Amino acid sequence: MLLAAVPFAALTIAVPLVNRIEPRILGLPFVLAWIVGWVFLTPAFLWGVGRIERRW
Amino acid sequence: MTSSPVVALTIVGGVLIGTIAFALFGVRRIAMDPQQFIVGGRSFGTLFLWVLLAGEIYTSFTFLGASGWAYGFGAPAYYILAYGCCAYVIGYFLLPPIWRVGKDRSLLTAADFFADRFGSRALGVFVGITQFAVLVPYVALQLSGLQLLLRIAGYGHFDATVAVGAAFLLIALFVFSAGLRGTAWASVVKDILVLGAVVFAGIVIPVQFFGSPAHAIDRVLRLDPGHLTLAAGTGTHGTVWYVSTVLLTAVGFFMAPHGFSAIYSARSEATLRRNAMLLPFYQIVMLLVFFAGLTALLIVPGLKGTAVDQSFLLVVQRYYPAWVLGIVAAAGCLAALIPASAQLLGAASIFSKNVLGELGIATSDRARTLATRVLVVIVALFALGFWLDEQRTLVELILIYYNGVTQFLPGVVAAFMFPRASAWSVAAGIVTGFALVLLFTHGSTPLLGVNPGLVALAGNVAVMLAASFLFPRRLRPSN
Repeated sequence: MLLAAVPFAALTIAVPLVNRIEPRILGLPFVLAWIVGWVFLTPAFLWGVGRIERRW
Repeated sequence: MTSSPVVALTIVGGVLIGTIAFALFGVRRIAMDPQQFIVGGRSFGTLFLWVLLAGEIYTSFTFLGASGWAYGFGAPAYYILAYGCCAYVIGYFLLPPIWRVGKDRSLLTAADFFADRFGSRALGVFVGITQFAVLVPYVALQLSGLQLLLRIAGYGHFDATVAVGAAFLLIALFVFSAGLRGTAWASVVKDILVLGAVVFAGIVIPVQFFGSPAHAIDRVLRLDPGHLTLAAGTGTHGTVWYVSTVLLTAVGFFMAPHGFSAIYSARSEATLRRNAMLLPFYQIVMLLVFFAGLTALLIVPGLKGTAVDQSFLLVVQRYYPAWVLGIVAAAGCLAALIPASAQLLGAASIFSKNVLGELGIATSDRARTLATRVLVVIVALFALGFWLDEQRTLVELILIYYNGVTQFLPGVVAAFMFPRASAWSVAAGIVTGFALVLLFTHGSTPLLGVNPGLVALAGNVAVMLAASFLFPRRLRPSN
């Protein structure tokens, strides 16, 4: 549950903190690259949650 | 009339007819009883469900609305990338219990869910009616997208009224020709076409005009340095707005009238979990849609108001041959038609089953199917009225829809976690939420930048909790 909260927080309350253009990543403004990065990471986090749940 | 509109519109027509034929072929051999029609026989596997759920996400809102916002406002459009992901995180935990209840109690619709969990058929009727109402801005959104596409594919030969009439007929035709399973098959065609169109608009166009999407972003930043970051704090579309909007739309994501039926159509809980995990990848397409909008800002600057929704279509219309526009417009039309028909079917079958059925008006399956069809036309007419009354950008329309649809969430959560909540307290919460949404939609009250839907949701929860403590429910549901 806590693990799943990480991408959620990263995509909501953390965004005002990374709300800037520099450093550009692959040409994207930093804030946009941050969001895109988390879109890719979210499945990994949910997969991790699934693994932990099954082990319990 | 020159040959360009003929070529473009012929392609649009051909693709639409082809898709309907393909969808009908997919449903031909399956008997269309309500179990099949509404929840596809509860048999959809991971891949099919993935396509079905994604089919609802990639609508003309994504296709035109998101690029329009990237064009018109810039950074606030980022919320569209983020909210889907957050929604899937919530869905990972929320969908399996909803599915389990649905399977154990053989529920077909969201209204069934409310009626069953709170032991009140009246609540089921109430939810059926309100879900119907909530759909009006959503269908208005798809109508608006369709008329835009038809107008541009016609190279300005039709006015908006003709185009919206044609769009209306297309939706009705589409809904009547196939049920949910047909919609899922048609989604396959749609997704391939939309993906192609988005790659074209988000990569090929910026590469041809500016060398790469990154160079296009450089140019946008030189033009307007503030375009790609959010305004600070409580201003219009500022950071507060961003956070509250992502929260609101993420929690509302699975509360769509048709959402519950889509959940129930899954084969197993694991199917749903895997879907929640895999769906974020679909979201990446949005990035290309942003590129398309930003590129359009450089090539055809100066669009204002609702015209921003046409942004990248105008680029295609002006700089590419008619057949390219035809394919892009056909992809866009499918992106409007399929989700609209899925949602319309969802709401109409809820209404005929949970409202008319409960009141004893349409009891036989045949009468219900007829009622479903009549109701689809009624919602579409309301949506037409809404569109004629207020012209808004596509993103504004979807936000109004989300403001409404989110109001069902407190009841769903209470059904699992808050046994004191009674049918009346849930209904009171929903009424409060809707009243606040209507108030905020008509008078634009500044709420320190917070999305009005979230404020309405807070009111909803407060009323529900207060009512539950004042008049707690005595019986637990028989389970």
